[in-house]
Amino acid sequence: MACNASKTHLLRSIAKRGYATCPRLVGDTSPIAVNVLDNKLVVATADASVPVSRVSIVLRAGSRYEAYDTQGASHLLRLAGTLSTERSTAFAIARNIQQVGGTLTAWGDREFVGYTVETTADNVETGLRYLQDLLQPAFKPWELKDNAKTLYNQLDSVSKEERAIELAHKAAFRTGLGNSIYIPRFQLGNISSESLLHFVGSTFNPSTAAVVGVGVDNNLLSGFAQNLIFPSGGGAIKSNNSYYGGDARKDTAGDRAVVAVVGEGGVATNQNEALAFAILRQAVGGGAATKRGKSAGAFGEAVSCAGDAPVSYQAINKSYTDAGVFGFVASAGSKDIGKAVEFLVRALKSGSVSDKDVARGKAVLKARALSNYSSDGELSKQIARQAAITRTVLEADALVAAIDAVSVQQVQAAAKKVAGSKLSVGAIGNLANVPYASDLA
Amino acid sequence: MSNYIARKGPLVFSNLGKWAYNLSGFNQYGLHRDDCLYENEDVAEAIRRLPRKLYDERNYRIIRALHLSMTKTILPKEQWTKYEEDVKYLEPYLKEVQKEREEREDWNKNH
Repeated sequence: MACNASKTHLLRSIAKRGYATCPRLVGDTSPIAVNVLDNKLVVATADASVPVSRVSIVLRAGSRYEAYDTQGASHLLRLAGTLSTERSTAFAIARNIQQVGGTLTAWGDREFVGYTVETTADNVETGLRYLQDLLQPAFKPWELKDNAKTLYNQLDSVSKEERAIELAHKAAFRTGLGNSIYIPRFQLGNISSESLLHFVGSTFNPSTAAVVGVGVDNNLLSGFAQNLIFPSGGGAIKSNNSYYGGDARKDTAGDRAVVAVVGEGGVATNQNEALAFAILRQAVGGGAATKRGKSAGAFGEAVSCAGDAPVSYQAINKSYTDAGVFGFVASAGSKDIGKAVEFLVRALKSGSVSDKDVARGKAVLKARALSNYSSDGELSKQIARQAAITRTVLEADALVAAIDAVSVQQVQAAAKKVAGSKLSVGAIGNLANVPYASDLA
Repeated sequence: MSNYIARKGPLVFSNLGKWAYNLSGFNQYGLHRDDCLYENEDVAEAIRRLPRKLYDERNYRIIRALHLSMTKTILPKEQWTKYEEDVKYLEPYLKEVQKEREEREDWNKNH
């Protein structure tokens, strides 16, 4: 569906001249307007004059709202983003959007399912026309069945690192946030259209949703959002957020083991805590700054202390509306993984972080935030998440100022919070030498 | 799925229609009108979309009819399909398939 023509350099400059009177400077951040409608739907736009407009609808229909017998419903929602709706067929959606060189994508995580349409700025109406239909999906059983292969394909391409992180969530939260964002294999073909419609009816709710746009006028998008028809039957649905901790292990063939260990992390609605955890992630080991380089910080040191065996690792920090997890995911040969995990857990449990590391963490986080804000695709994702979680959006300057305002003590308090919590271990692969959560305490 | 509820009986009741229905004879094999449709591409696609239960019932009726035809018998009269009770179970699916085909043809004509 993608139209790459406007991405090439020459065409892009022509497009800018054609579509926009005052193109935004490359890397410049755009002002963001946030508007709350009468039905509590949040409309956020970044009024950048850019050749490609992006509009997303973000709905609180992620995997955490699935019940035990509807596990995988949100994955099917993502799949159904390109299938028929009550008002238009899959064929019409695909062809009409293709015809104007647009793309329509569905994405999702533990909390949200989002639909994003990208079109050139003068064809934004066509995109919006089909975007609004997605609020009334039809879930025709034969279409779901015909697309089962896509699901198999998606499941097969999930990496072991992702699997380990899913398992760690399962161990940490059991239900609710513990639900995997990927459909379990035993549920394939077992979720009926009726239960999907029920899931949509109870989760698609204007008071928890957001409509965001980049390169779209706020008035235009507010008008569009006002006319959106949400399925009835919605209400505030609850989902478990209590943290338990423990083990979730899956033994598979091979010689490699991937282990994710997490403790309690920051809550996204608590801005200071969430930022402190984001800084902590960069401070202890957010990834190397150079290709195949070593990442600085406590995790990097811990891995070098553990021995010469090659271990790949990364700090993970996931903040949700009312809970969060912080830890690491590491992978190595089954003989070496035990020692690596032991040393990494020691670093995680130390609960201390130096001033120098915090300063570096802040610098890296600021650079990441600004780079996210200066590309349109990333910006649209950023404001979509922010608008849906906090019901407001920080502009780039405010975000940088907020990061600066986080004190070293707050980051240390974050480190102590993880250190003091029960650990959750998600592991997949050859688990001969992988320790259990009770051994790590 | 409320728009897939099948129509029962004829669209407009008439004695002429009833006479023609009974004359056609397929009801004596226990078949319904939609069991006798010629399976062109549209019908085949509509049949594929039938819910499992309707699909199985259709197959049962067809197999029974083939068996009756082979043994040169018909069902006892009380088991014949009645004009008023003939269920057009395929109709909603078939209409949708036809609409989709027309949409595709329109698109190909105009683009």
